[in-house]
Amino acid sequence: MKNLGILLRFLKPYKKWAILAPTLIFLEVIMELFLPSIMANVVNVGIAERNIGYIIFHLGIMIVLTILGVIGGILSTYYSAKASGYMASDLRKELFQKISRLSFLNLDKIKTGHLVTVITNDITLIGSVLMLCLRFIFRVPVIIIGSLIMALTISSRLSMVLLVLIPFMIIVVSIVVKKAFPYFQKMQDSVDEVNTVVRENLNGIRVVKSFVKEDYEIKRFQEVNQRLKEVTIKGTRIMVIALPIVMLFIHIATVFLLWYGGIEVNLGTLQVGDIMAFIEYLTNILTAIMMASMVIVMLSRSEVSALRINDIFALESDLEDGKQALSLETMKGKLEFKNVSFAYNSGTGDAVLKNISFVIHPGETIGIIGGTGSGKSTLVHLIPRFYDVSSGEILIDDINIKDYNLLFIRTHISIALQKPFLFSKTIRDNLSYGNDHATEEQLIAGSKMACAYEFISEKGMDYVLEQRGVNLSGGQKQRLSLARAIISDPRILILDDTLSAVDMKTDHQIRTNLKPFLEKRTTLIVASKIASIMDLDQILVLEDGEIIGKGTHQELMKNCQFYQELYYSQLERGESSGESIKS
Amino acid sequence: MEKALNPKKTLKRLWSYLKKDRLKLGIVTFFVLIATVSSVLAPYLLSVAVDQFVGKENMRPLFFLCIILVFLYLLVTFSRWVTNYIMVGVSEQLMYRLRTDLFDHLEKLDLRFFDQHKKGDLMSRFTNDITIIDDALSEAVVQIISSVLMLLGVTVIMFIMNPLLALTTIITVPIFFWIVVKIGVASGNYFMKQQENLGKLNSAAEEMMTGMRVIKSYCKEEDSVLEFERYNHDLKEVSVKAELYSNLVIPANVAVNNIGYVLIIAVGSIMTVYGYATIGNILAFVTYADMFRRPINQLATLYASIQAALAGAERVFEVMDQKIEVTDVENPVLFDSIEGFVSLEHVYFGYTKDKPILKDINLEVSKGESIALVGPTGAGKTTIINLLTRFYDVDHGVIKIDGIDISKVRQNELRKKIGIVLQDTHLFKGTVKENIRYGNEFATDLEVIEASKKAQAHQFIHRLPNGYDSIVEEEGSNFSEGERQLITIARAILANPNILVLDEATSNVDTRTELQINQGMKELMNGRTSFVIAHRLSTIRSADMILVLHHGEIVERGNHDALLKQKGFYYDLYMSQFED
Repeated sequence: MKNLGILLRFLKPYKKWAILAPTLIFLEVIMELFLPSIMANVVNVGIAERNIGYIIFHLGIMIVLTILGVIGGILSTYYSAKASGYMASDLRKELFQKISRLSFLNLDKIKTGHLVTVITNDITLIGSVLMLCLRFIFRVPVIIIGSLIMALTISSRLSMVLLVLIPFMIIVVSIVVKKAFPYFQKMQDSVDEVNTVVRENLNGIRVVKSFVKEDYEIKRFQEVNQRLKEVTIKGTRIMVIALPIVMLFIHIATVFLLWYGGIEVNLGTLQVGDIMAFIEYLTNILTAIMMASMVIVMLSRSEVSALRINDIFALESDLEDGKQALSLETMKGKLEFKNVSFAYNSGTGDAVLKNISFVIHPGETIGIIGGTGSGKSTLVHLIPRFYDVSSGEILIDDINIKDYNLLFIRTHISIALQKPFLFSKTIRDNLSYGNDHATEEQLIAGSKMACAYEFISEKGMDYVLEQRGVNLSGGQKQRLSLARAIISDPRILILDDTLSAVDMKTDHQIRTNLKPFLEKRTTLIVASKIASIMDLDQILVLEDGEIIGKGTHQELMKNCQFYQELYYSQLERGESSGESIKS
Repeated sequence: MEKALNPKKTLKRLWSYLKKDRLKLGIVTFFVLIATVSSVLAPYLLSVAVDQFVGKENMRPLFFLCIILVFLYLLVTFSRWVTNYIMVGVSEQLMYRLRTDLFDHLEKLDLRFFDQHKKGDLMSRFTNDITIIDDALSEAVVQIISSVLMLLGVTVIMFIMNPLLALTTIITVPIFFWIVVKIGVASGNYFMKQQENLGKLNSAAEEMMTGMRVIKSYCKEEDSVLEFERYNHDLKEVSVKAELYSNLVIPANVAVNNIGYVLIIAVGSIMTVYGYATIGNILAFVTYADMFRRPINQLATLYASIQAALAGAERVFEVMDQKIEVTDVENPVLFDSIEGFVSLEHVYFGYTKDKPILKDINLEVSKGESIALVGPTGAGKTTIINLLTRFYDVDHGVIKIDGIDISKVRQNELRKKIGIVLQDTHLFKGTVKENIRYGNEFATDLEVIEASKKAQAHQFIHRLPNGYDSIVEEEGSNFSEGERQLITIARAILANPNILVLDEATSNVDTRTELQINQGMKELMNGRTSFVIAHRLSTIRSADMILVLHHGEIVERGNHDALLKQKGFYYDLYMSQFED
């Protein structure tokens, strides 16, 4: 229960409720403890002596106890529900916060599906279990001990039965729980598997339909579905078999008590009413043990969930905010890479970037060109510190970016990613995402620059995008994403092949629009067409993670064979004389 | 949705699933019957024992009675075993079937449904909603049967034993019922809301996790937490209430029960004093009160959880009931092999009724022709592709392949004959080889490598540590965009279709590689009809016919040279390349 214990800290703010809940149960428990013995008295004394007054008085006490007990029970439920509900909510919030603080490297290693399952299912489970625990945690031991004491006061000899029975039951319960536990783990894993298949299908339904793979996917789903069924059946059956055994013990003990009690009554050492009470107490104890075992079982299940939750909390972001955490008034925008090397799995993985060095001065624009997997995107991802370099330094305004406050860096650098991601909010909200204080004019200006204004005004700023922006075409998404980056008013702007889905005419128009905007900023453009970057101040040619060419277009045409080949192949296809963004 | 809209209908539907296990349910009922009868007899025997045999000289009758009791209890235990064992299987089978049917239907639904529904919410139906049905149903069936039987049995025996005491026992029930129903209804409502809010939370979590990189790049972590918190808060409010109400039943029940308990003892004691009842009776009735209360309590608890289950079931059935808009006709025309003649006749289409995207499109394509679709984004290019593949059906007009109206052809057949490479590269978890083989599961390893070579993917795959057996992570996140494109193209090449549809596929790959793909594509396109949405001049220039789309209409058509001569829209587009 180690992991559950760790999560108990979330209960702290609700300590009051968490203590009240089980405490109020006391009232309920007292009721249950004393009712049988009062009843015994009613039988032994009241009926035997035909004393109706006695009977009524004692019954009156029973009613009072009942009312107290019930109030206790209701209040206990109330506080348990609140404590567990609020705790689950806090846990959820913190977990989300933790996830939002994870680094890109962390995020690369965990599946989205897993995160969603943990934040919804696993936490819900823990909430339910907590609720159960709060209700029963005092109840069970107190009832057991209390009933034992009451039973002992009636007859120590009969109580021997209990002292044998209880350990026996505990052993049985422990065995069952131990056997069932591994199945809980398997069940959760199986649930994950099913969810993965469903998620992939929801995401990739176009591909599934294009390749007519519905049957294949259905078969694939069958497999994981089947496995889930089998594991759940096996695990549940173990527990479900145990329950009747426990009940059997209760019943046989009752019979035994009847028999033994009968003997005692014969001998005069016991009264009939006592047998009744005793049976009540026995039932109480054994029922309490049963409840305890149910709770333990649920605790086992939730331990698995708690583990999954703690694993996420334990993740450490590999990015640390700078010790100095510099936050300057302005960023000038000088960017320098000094012998930068990078591998995704530092140490074990292959270096994606090797010994990259270059300088960009404020106001300059450089182009980065290279083949697939040459490291272009990776390079630009290092600039906003999405990942940290493995070796070497990246300097902004001559200070290592690791020394800056992360917020400062990311606020002044905007990157329009290759695969644009838009939120299911209004267009306005999406556009102003990087700049909360953007005025309507700024939004419009930014959209116009990205040649997105036409379709935006058609749909309206308040138009709500569907999830993942499916009601926009690829080119529209890219332009919106670009507009968003522009509106965020960055000092360093990075375009990662942002205009790939846009037609030529629009592409050209956008580049023209951007000219004045970029004059004041430092810009990096990752491109696939030489035409887009031909006229830039500097061009970096990347191949296999290394810079194999650096310079202007003219210089590269002289010195870099790869660049030449590229140029001529594009020329052949009529793309070489296109204008670039700056001329 | 406030309440389960139509609980009876949903219940009937769930029953139709359970019906398949009728035999097992029958066996279960039988054993529940045995268990119940035994459970009802036992207190009666206890009562007899206490009255008649305890304290008597002759211990023998008591002894025998005890033996009978033990036997009864063993019977009960055995019956419960059998019952539980079978029921676990039955309820899991039900879950299995629900998941299967839900997934099957999902696969049949057309794209419009997926475009209009939030992924997270759909996921929630598979997970949260089905789980809640499971939780309720696994208990429900047995408990309903045993509760009802027990109620009947106990009532009968009580009245046989002592009618007055029986009345006393039952008197508290109506009050109890009233309380329980009130609570049950309230908790049912809250459960419904809870499932809804859980679905919304799921959606939000899903979206934000997927877009976490964007959130981080704009430093919006704190904002996203605040937004998440709003959903979280809504869920909290509702689930606390749901838990509260559903758990209130127990204390309420205890209250009424104990008061009843007291009443029995009161009445019973007085009656015993005057000789109208025995102590044994009191003991028995105390037990019977218990046995009367328990099933009612169970039914009450069940009511709440069944409400919740019905709420969940409704959400599941809602998806299953979604109409499929793009359907196959009853007697579909068979497509043996396609030659590749495509024609669009007066085609009109809009995703919504009020916004037409395509207006009166007319087109004739000969076999083996390559068509380039050009025009500003939103002009309708992707839409034409969606219609060709019957992802959506036309509003008016007809599309024919080889003279056959494609709406009369089975969707699957049509798509098998058309090769589609989309803008969104989508890879599945598995090996690289498996992902490529997705295009043709009967392909040999050699064929896979051949296709991969043609797509220029072989080079980089070959260099991976595990080569073709390298694992593709979920969503292909461990490969670059360009690499994903290449794999996708290899997949399409392997499928070897008669008609090709390419949607801006090659635009994210660098020029050098693209050149090589183009070579491969040219080979592939040779003799096959192809539709290409591309922006690269080279691709467009080499097309047999260029269609220029603008605002949903074909404004110009012809090959590159012809269009240039026209000095129209295409001319503008092309010339923007060389603007000063």
